[in-house]
Amino acid sequence: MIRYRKEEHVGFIEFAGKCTRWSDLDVVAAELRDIRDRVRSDEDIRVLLLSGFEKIRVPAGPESPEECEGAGPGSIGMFLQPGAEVAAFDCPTIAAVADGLLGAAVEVALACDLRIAAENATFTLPSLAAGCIPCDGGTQRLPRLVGKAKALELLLLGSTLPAPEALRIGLVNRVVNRQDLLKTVQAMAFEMASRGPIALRFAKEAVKRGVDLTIEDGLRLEADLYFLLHTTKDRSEGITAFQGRRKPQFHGE
Amino acid sequence: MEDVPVSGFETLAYEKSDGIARITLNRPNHLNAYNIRMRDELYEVLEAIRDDNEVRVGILRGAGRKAFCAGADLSEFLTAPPPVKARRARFDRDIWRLFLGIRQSMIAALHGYVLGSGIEMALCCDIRIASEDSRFGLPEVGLGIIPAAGGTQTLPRAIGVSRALELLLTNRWIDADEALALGLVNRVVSATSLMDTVEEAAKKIASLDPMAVRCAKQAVVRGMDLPLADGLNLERLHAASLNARRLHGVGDR
Repeated sequence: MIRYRKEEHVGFIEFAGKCTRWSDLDVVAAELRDIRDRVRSDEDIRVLLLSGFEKIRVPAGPESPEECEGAGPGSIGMFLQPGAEVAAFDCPTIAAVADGLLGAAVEVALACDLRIAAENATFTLPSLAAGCIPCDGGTQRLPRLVGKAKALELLLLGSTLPAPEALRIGLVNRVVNRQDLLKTVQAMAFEMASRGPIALRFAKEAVKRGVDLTIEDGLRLEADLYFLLHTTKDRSEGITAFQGRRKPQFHGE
Repeated sequence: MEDVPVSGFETLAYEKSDGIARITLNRPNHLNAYNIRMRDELYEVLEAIRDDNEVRVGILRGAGRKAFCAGADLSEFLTAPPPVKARRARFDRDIWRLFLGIRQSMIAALHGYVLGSGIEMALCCDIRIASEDSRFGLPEVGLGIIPAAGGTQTLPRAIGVSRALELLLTNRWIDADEALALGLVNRVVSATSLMDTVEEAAKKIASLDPMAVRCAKQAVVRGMDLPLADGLNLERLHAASLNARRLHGVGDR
């Protein structure tokens, strides 16, 4: 289902296979978990670029009792969720959204840290019309991103959100011409990957974990991560390079 | 309450009149870069404001034409004390907790470069007014470190997690218009009218019942850390104590 390749310090995760049945999501989630194991042990990977979300076109819920295995009320959390797997990556994740996304595909994109969309991209959450609700983080990540009112509007009306509006409400970070999408996202990923890799992960951790804490506890988390960075060679390299007006060479240690 | 001496600070200028305290970051030859001396002097000034009931509102601005504050002074970074000691110092005199806990309203007047610690100090204020020439950036991750003046916590709470992550992880500089669109600043005005605009806002706040201003700030800021039901209770408590004071003179200073 997923094509994975690595170029310099960027990992490319492309949803390439046919993902049209609800139970296909299990396979996608399992493959993402494998990739995460590889990335975790590959010190080289600093940023992940995800694409191909539009290939994920599954119904809003299981369509047969067989598909229900692992999806009944007694087994909540037993089924694998692609979005949950994406959200668990330590390093920054950038989503390239090239086309219209439906349901589960939206949820996987929401689980990424940043979203860059082509001008023709759209976002639709049709679960309610099918008598279901999103089950891969949509009801949580969407309101935290665009606010309660907009999230409820999209969920309850199932309306299709075009890219410019998605930008305005904060669902995507940037909208570009379709032909520029891959180029833009790659440039962003490589540029990000040229920064301190540990600092990248710690910045992500401070923001994502901190936002659920009181501001005071969040500030302590930030301070602890900041002082941990004092023990890295990358920090000395970063500062020395800046003072010497040269580009820093980070090694992730 | 002793008046803070107007002179005697190396990196700041401080004065107050008619209930308005004015803090000026005063290292214009270094683009008001934040160093240890500024930290210590700012701490003293903030304590003085905290303990001075005559101060109803504070303004934070930067001296010189080029910058509000272009970030931390890196020349001190490589000789910082070891992390355990530095962490202790960070929490023994917790300047960011002090700044964020100031009960009087604080307004940041931003111009020119607002980078790194500059953004973070601005985010410790309640209201940010920027001149058209302002430019904002967060270079820390490119130096192998993360913001340590609260930015990983205050920025996402101000503009959202995803937008904050983009600025943090890519160090993309944004101009005043984009800062306004993101919600990073409240207003953008011409450079020549910046201080007039800020003074006008400060005068307006200084003319209000100072207890009402403090209660409003507390209700909003403390309430953000609480679930809605608890936040509503907090609001009720503040409103009740204000009404008691207003109608029955209870708790008059």
